[in-house]
Amino acid sequence: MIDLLPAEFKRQIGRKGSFYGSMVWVGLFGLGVLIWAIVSSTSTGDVAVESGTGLITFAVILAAIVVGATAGSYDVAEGTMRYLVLTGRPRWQLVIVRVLALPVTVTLIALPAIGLTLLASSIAGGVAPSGTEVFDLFYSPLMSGLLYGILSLAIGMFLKSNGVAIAVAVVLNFAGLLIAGLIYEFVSRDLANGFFPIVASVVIEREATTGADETLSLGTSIVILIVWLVALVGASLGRVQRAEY
Amino acid sequence: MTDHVIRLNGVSKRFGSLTAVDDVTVDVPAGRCFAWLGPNGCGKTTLIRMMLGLARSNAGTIEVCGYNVPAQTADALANVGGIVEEPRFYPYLTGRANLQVWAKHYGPEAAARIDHCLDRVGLIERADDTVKTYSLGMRQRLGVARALLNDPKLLILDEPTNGLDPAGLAEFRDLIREFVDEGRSVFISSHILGEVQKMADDVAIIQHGKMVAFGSVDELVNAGKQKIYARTSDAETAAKHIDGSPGIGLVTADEHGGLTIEVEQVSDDLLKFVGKALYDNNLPVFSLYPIHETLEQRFLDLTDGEVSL
Repeated sequence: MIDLLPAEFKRQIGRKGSFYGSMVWVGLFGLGVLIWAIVSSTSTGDVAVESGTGLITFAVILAAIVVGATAGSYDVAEGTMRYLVLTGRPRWQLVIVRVLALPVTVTLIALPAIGLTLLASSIAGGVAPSGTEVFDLFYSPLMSGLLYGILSLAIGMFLKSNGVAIAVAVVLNFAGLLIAGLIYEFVSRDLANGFFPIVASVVIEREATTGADETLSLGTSIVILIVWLVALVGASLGRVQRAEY
Repeated sequence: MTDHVIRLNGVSKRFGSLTAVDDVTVDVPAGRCFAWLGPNGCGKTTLIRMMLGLARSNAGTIEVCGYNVPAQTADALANVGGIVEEPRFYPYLTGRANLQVWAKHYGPEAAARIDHCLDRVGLIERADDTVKTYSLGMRQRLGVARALLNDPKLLILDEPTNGLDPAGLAEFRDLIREFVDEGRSVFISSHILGEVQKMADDVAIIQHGKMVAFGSVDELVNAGKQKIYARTSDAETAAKHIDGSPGIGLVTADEHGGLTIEVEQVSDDLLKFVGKALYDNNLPVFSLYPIHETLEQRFLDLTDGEVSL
């Protein structure tokens, strides 16, 4: 199945609108940090990295939603899925290869902005960023992109239109946090803590979250997140195995 | 491979209350061009999708290249190349890059065949242009190139002549005959009946999901009504003299002196009989010839004129 990865990269990166559009979108945030570092007399390296981490993570989540949803829906929407199935490759491979290629695509989208942020940090001077802060500059956007990308890819797998897939993925990703908040407030705090956006945020920030009277540990979050990812990919596999093209 | 490249036995497909394919049984011989004809929406594409494992049947058994579908779909597909509904590609990639994507799914041997396949369909010159710049006819040809990547024994082509200009149609017809001459089997669906008559060896006609006729093109055409046409000065009078004679069926006269005579079997004797009947009654014979039914006329007869051309 690994032999299919180059073809999948060609598809994901070849969609220039979503790929380069996302790269430019995320890059603009890195550019903003760079401009701030150049023009501001109070800028310091550590603040540049810290600011860049937050901004780029936000931008990458949106980009990953678009790229992931498109990766999930594109072949069905454009009628190419039936020709992939006609190659005789097991259908599960057609799903898994997308999941495997997505982190690389997201990384390529985020790297220019991360590079610009590192450049801003070195230009700003002053207090240098710590090793952990630099690690977070890579980890936070890439982990966010991976998690939200896979979630969106799974959503895209269930829809037959790229535009609808992107719209639904955006709404569900952001509404998810709102729904989790409502469940937390009115139904069950434990149940809310199991929601994807909550556990994802714990894993992305690598910090336990403390509610009013309970704590969601990092370890528990990782376990729940893995369950979510397995369920999402499993649902996609089930969908593709059953679907008629 | 068996003598029959496709075997369908009692195959049915329902979508809710609609029966798209209704109890179709047919054996498609290997090494020939088989055409699947029917009005739009009669179930042709649904049947093709089931044969390729893209859709599941509700009843019946399907065997492609000796393998049961869906139980052995992967083995069956290893011997098959196809176009279903219409050829779809990644429009942002070049023709060559598109074939590279599919070749990756087939394996290295398919990758080595890309240029050969592009050349075979006459697209090698445009191989490095993005597919979004291709005409429908070019995408059809690229679809055939993709179908050839795995060097299939059986080509299943759904409406492959859509979008082809007259020159493209002639080239495509030659290409199909080349495939058959190479020993491949070709299964096409088409509504361009004149083209099918020229390229196919065997034909099945489907209407409302049911197969209504099956046989060689010649058998089907010859099984239709046979007619003789004559033109004289007074068709009404001529009709009275000919009507009711042995071997003569319905005689229809038109206002231009034309007579259309249905016969059991066109023969020289019958032609001579009609000519003599006119002559003996002092009716001049301006023209006299047998009417050869085309596949299109036969198709219209069998489907009660229900066709979307």
